Amino acid sequence: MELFRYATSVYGDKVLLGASWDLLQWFVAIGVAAILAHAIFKFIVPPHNSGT
Amino acid sequence: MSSHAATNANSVASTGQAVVKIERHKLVDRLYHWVMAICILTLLATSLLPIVGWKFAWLTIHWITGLVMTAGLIFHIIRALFFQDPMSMVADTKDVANLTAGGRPGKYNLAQKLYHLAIAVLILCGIASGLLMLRKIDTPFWERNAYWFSDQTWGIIYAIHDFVALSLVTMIIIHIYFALRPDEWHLTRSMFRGWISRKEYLDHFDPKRWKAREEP
Repeated sequence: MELFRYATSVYGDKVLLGASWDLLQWFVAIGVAAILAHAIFKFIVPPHNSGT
Repeated sequence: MSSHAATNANSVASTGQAVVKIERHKLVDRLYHWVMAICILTLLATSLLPIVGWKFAWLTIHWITGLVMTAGLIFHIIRALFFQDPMSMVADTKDVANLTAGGRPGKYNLAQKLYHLAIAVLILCGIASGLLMLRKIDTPFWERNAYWFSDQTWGIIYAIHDFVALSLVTMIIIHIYFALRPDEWHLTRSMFRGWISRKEYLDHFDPKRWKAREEP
């Protein structure tokens, strides 16, 4: 998995273009994982009246 | 906001059936929130949908929306610093102690404060990099100049902008999840109608840390 996108300049140099769009699925996965982790935590741990 | 203080919540305990409304968000702050929400969703849609295959003329919508969001953020910073209580959004030792002690938070709990900090950093980085990227496109106000920076520097600026966009996807997923959780509905409702009930105020918040006031 690449972290960045590159192109080749007219001089043959490797030029950074930006972040790799293949990462999009991983950022979605992190969000879903955070939701699951919190939901499981709230299910297991009894609430204490903290307003959270 | 809490700086406006002067709660007379104790005086309304016997008001019968009527719901006593505690002001949480003024109309101007709710409008700001929803304008920012529309801007961020528009910016993400116009940047990410073409990547996943939905091709359309996204650039003009994207940069104009970015400028609207920039204006909104400037408004918010001025309002937060000079007309609200900025410390209500700053994490303190009491917030950390509440993690184990289970005490009630002030207007915002630790998770909300950390979320706000993260989203603030992301949006500031997105705006800063986006404003620089405007130099690479023609607009009615200026002509493009792709040689302002070296290719490598432009690459770094684009990478920052891209990682901000990707991170915002994660942040929005988490934000919507918390907004939909039944135990957070009083907060979600307050972002629509501006108030929470006195019972919700006393159940979920520490009146000593958030000196709220009733709605007129």
